Amino acid sequence: MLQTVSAMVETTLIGAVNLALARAMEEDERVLVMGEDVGVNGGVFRVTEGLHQRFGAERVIDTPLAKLAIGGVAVGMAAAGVRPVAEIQFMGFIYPALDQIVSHASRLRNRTRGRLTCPMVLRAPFGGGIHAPEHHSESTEALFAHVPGLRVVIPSSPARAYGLLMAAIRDPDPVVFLEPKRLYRAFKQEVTDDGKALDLDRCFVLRQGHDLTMVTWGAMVQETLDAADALAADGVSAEVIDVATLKPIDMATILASVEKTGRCVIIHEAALSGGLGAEIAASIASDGLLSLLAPIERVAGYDTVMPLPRLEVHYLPSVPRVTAAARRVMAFG
Amino acid sequence: MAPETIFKLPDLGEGLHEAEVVEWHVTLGDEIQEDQPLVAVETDKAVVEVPAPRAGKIAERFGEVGDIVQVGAPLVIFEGAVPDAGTVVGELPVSERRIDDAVSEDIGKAKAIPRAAPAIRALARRQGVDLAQVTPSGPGGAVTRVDIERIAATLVDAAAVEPLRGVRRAMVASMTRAHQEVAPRICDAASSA
Repeated sequence: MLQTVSAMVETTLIGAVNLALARAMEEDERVLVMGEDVGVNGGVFRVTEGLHQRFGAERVIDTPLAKLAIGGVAVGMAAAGVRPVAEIQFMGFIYPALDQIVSHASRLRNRTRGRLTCPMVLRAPFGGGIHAPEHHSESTEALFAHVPGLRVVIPSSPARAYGLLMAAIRDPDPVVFLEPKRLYRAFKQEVTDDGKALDLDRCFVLRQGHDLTMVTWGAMVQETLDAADALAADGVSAEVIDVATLKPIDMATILASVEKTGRCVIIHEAALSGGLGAEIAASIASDGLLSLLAPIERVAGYDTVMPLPRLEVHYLPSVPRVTAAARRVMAFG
Repeated sequence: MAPETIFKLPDLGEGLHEAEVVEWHVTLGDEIQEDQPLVAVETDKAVVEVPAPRAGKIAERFGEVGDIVQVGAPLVIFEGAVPDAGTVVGELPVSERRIDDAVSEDIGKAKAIPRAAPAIRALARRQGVDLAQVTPSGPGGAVTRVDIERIAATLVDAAAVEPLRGVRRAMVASMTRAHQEVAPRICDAASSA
């Protein structure tokens, strides 16, 4: 039994992911980290800094620049009982690995009738707002959420990054763990480095309200909380829900909130069409329709390629766009 | 946005890839201002003054007089600037802000919004029916169209009632008394006749 030392640390989302990786590797020798430049260099965003020195090159593996290989090797390792946490440097470059993720990682349990599972985590920074070039700003979480057998998890604070990553690593099935890179160093929070996991497959209610339910995830949680503040100044009480696990979605919490408020605005930075906002809205339409006092609104990215830095501020849902949607919904009385 | 730590030789235009250091205007430890002349470099075309991109203290200087510096190679490093954020592209927003996002485990009881489909709500609004006053008969306690129409019909009957004031009130009072006192006697008289 490993001695568990718990420490309270004030850290960023990056720091929290680093702490969780280190804790998981310390607790379970099957856990290893792999990806491009994650070792000696410490990772493109320094998420894995110090792990190579601490755990060695056999457990912190610098891979070739080959996403398909990263995906395939991780699937093979996971099937063999290793618990790989593979990093893709940017979500915009994850697609070569899709074949391994969609065709194998997600299906291993089903294909072998439960004899093999695929306990791997695929981490990738995602989302815009850092003035990056093409391929470095997209949010395509809906692609992964559409695939049966994959879990999609998106933290929105240091504490949730720590707890959800611990849970993802311990989970016996594959998890796509998407980190909102705009939040990587945007703020700090007290994180207890005690190895405790947060529950997967549940939403987190970050603010209680009774007039309106606002559902969001990732970097948009901050915009939504700011919008809730602006609405509160006008006497509108908004409940803010961080979905956190995008597949499967905890609709019970969202529906309980909508039954209370009767109104719902969904905010995501991914493109509108076919986004997960549509999935949530459809579930509310099926199971929460009788409580609705107003149409469900979605505030999302546009159905265009994520623009380059000069225009990205117009693409990402902003506080004014969110409050405008909320006011339209409130106007139904 | 936090300023860059490392200042690299910028693109000097005209397709030039390198320049020779002619003269340094700053030395290690100098506190300099933005746009202050940093270094003079000579390209194939001309001597160019490179100004400082930001204010700060010079921590390191690269290249001595006579050295060739490539475009994109470091010229100076400023002291006490941002820590290494690692990224090769983009600029991560950095702040010292602290958050404390307490999670609510219990979102409280529903305030019992009457259950009704949107079209039924619209019907209720048109008919002036308050959904909270309707006894629902639909599945899962939902208010139905029939429920709304039943209440609406009651409201139409009730709509004939209005408060009486002044002369009309006095008239109704006396007419009612007359009806109560006179009418029974007429009836009695009629029946005993």
